[in-house]
Amino acid sequence: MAEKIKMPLIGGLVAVISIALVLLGNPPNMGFCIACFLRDIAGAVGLHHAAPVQYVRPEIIGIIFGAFIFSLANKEFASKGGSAPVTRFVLGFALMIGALIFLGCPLRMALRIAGGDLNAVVGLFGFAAGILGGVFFLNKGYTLKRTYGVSKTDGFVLPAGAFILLWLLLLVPSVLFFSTEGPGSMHAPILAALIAGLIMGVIGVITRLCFVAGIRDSILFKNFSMMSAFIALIAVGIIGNLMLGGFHLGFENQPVAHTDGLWNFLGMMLVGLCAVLLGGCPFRQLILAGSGSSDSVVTVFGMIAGAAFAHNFKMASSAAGVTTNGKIGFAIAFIIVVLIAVYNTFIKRKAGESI
Amino acid sequence: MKTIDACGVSCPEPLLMLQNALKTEKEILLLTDSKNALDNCEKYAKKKGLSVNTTTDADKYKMHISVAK
Repeated sequence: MAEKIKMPLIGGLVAVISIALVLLGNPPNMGFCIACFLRDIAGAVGLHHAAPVQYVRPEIIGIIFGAFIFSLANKEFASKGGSAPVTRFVLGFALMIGALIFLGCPLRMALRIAGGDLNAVVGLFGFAAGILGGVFFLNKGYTLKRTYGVSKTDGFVLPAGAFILLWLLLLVPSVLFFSTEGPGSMHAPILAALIAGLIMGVIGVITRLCFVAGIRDSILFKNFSMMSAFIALIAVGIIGNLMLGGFHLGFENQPVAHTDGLWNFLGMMLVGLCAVLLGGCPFRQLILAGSGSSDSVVTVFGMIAGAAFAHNFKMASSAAGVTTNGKIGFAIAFIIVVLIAVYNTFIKRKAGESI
Repeated sequence: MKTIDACGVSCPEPLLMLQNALKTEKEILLLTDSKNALDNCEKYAKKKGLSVNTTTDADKYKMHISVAK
């Protein structure tokens, strides 16, 4: 019974924190977006040079710190890895191509819907379709095999890297790239963003909040617990936006969004498929990465690399729409992801071979 | 009794392994090293009205699940 109340409350809390971050300066409907924020960080450290999207997002650092500190405190921290790390890198990379065609991760998709952006509703249908595809493979036996214990240093690398990034942001910002216009120039104060991230990190460890698990577990196990958080997030977001004047129903002129329905659908379809194959959405990957999973650290690196390539090769969409390179990139990424899924579901099993 | 070794496999595979095994087995020993997987499997089994008994051995959880109460 507690679970039935807890998860919607958590979803509502995430909506409140997200709206607060927008009020404090984040771009509209982008209180949180793991994909966008990793992309901004990639830009800030010079991995791409798309001028409007460069900033060290303290929210990401906060999430990693929150997950790291809290998982250590409650003894859930465990340095583990070795479950097809390179494949996970590729899946993270492909996920980011999809997310930057749509312009958001599953969390931002929910926040966009809460802001009245109907393009994100189209994205939601694509997301669900991608999850259904992933569930098909899971039901047929898809697995990336086991993780094993690894050296503790593996689990400390990402939190240490996040600490160095925060140190650069606070004390040596001149070595970083910062947007002077566009979404990257819009941000909440560093301390507020960091605290919001910390709270999300702790929430992530306690509740295992995952934005792909909502739909996935409803289908697989008739378990609607995560789904209730997802729905509450959208509902509270709509109410909050209505109260504060941030709700604008329609397809046109939505903030950091485009109106190409087909590609909103396909972009999120790729995100949904990759997220199921990875075992969690981008937010969940960050939480696991902070809790010692070196496989998830590699996935996060894959997402950062994917973001850099998406902008360097002009595959990322903008308010102007989807690019030709984005469509080609999608096709290549989608084929690779399906091949990974097919191979790890049907081909690898010899007679008698277990996981 | 069937033994499922779910150590180290990603979410939601441990629960899927349990769900599939329950189609044919009446008694299952599930091994996992993940608190997350343990919680999910325990919740699922209890919701199904199964008898669940979990012990901890070093870093591993041993979950004994049976259909008979």
